[in-house]
Amino acid sequence: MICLKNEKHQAVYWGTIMIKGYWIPILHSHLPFVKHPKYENFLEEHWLFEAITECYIPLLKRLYLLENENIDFRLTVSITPPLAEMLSDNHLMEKYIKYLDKLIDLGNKEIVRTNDNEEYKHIANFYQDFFTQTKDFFIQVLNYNVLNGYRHFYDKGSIEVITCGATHGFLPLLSVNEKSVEAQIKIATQAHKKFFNKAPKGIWLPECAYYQGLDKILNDNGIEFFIADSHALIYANPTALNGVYAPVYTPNNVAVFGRDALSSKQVWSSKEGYPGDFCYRDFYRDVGYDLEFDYIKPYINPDGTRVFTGYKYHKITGTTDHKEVYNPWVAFEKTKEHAAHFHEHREKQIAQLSSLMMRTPMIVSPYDAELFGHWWFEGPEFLYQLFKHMHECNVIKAITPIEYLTRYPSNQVVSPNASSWGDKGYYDVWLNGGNAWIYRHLHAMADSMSEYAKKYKECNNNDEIRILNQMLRELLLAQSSDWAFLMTTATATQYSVNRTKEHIQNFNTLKEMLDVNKLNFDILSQLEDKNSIFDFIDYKIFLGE
Amino acid sequence: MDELTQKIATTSLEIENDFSSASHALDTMVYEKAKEESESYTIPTRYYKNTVTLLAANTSTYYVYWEIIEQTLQTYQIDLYKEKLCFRVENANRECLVQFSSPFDLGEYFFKLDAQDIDICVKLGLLRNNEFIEIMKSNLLHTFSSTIKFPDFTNEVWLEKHQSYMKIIQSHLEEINDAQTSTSNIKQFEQILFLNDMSEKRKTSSSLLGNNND
Repeated sequence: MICLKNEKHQAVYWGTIMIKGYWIPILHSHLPFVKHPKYENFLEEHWLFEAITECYIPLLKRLYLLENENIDFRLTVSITPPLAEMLSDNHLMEKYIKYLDKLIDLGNKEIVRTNDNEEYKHIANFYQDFFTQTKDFFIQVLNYNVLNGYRHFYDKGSIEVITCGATHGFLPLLSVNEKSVEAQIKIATQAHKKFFNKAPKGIWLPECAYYQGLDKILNDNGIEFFIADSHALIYANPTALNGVYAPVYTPNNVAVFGRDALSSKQVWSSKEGYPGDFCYRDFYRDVGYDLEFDYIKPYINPDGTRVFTGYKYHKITGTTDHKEVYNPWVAFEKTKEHAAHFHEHREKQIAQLSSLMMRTPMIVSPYDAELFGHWWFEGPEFLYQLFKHMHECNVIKAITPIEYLTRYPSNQVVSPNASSWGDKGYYDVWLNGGNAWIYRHLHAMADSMSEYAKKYKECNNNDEIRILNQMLRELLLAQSSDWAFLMTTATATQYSVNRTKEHIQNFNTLKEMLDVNKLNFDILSQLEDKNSIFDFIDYKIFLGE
Repeated sequence: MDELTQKIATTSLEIENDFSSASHALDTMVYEKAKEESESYTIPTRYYKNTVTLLAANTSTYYVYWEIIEQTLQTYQIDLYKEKLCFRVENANRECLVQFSSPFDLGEYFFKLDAQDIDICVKLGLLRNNEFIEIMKSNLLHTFSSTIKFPDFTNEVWLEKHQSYMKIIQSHLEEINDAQTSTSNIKQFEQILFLNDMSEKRKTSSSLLGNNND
């Protein structure tokens, strides 16, 4: 194995501090583009509202707290283009304010309802306060746009915001028409520049899915690094000598950071992970399901479908249905213990790795951002406590991938193996008997897009340009990996099937308008309003020039 | 390769193989099932275009879908009531790895094949008088690998990358910081050739099999 002159000692100085290892935490923030302007209340739009309330704002609040406490932290966050688009969409953000108002109103009623119950009244107050403060923070600090919070830390350098596929398309399965992949990457970098005023240095490949040759497209678009599953590096050609504990370069000079499954599992696993601790909030018990229908009716879906409201009064308690009352203050104290435990295990892991490696180990821990706060309510507090603990201990340094590469510019060159972060590291989740039917359509649409981009290369007709651009939007939205994923997990199967079919139909309707030269402006305007993603889009991107 | 390196590789994988991150947060958000209604959308049943496409699901499962148009059936004088379409999965040496048949002009099929780290494609055609007549071929696909391939002297390459320049480093030079001698320049050149070769190999194997669906 290669021995680097300046890396013979595993511990290194970071400023004046002796560091034994690096930790690269990565939060992947993504939701599919869901916007239904025709409806005042649309259930699937609540995915975004819940994520803002329980994940993004709680995280940003903790980051501001760390900043105020002068605690040095580093975090890499992918904000996918569809998420950025939704967070900047006036229609959705107006609905979000209404959503918060409703929750605050429910809180007021809950305080009255639980007034005689010592245990419940505290927690009702806690939630009423939580939603009120969330609204204040959203308006006063974030100025109605969550991205403002991320921009603040991105500009300061404490977080590195990276991009993702334009609509989170599963790139290996789209690569039959390479222009699809090029469009996913190019539009993603354009969106990043639009929202963050600078080009992204890194990308979170949708589902961490890689195939041979993708690195060239990434390099062509100025991407310097991406994150991959360990299968990409260990089964690479040749194998990455430092495993996932140091990055590698691809043949096209893009750095790859491999996921450390051990630290992922410690936080993520529903069985062994921290979120399963008995004193943490139970996800499933919610007043939306527990209280009398007439009382809760104004706060659930207008058609009477019971939904989660966010008012969850119970802790996990144990493995049975018996649930005791949740105490947020006790739970938040517990996060300190778990943060220390996580840190201790990384220290041990780093010590073990240092004995095997000739350089200071690096541990990459990627998670879905929505895990912290939504599924694991105390997750943002855990991250806050972890950064604090790391700062106090000064043994492990949280850094960004770019900081690591600046420090260690020499890395092995390998050709990564095709892989994803799905089951066993391959593509089954997005290609199986339940969802394989979509690919025939996605590929045919991409071929048509290529054909029409060529045919209308010199087009100056503004209406035709509008149609072609909307065709590209419909194609991109159909390509979202979320639909194939949800068909596999069978959680929102019909919605996913409908969404896929809707975009296929829209694409073909628009194509037909061009074919018969009969434009239907009502339909076009409706589609532009509903599927309004990427106002800068240019169908000529499919020319690949 | 030394024992320590092997241990790092196995350490990197030991948890990974029994842990998946496919349990997305999104999945927890849609737990609250809405009344799921099937809305009416019209999507094409066929595209009236000759197509055969190959996709990989994992190291042993592959998916192929196809469509063959009436005109092509006529050109080859195919009566699908009497004769089946034949599908041959071939490697870059044109060796047949799997073969199956179908009486349908439009279809899809999952098949099993244990073929790792190679280029494969599917050829759609006819089997007449024990001779395969090719009508069209699929995209080229590089299969997954699940084997550890430790580098040797010839293919262990390191790259030193800075904002303004890059430098290829030969594996056997122990001191990277000293790798700027004339000897190392020669070695760098050799490694550049190696890297070019790596990407050329892909192109070559693509060109061997030609374009898809033509």
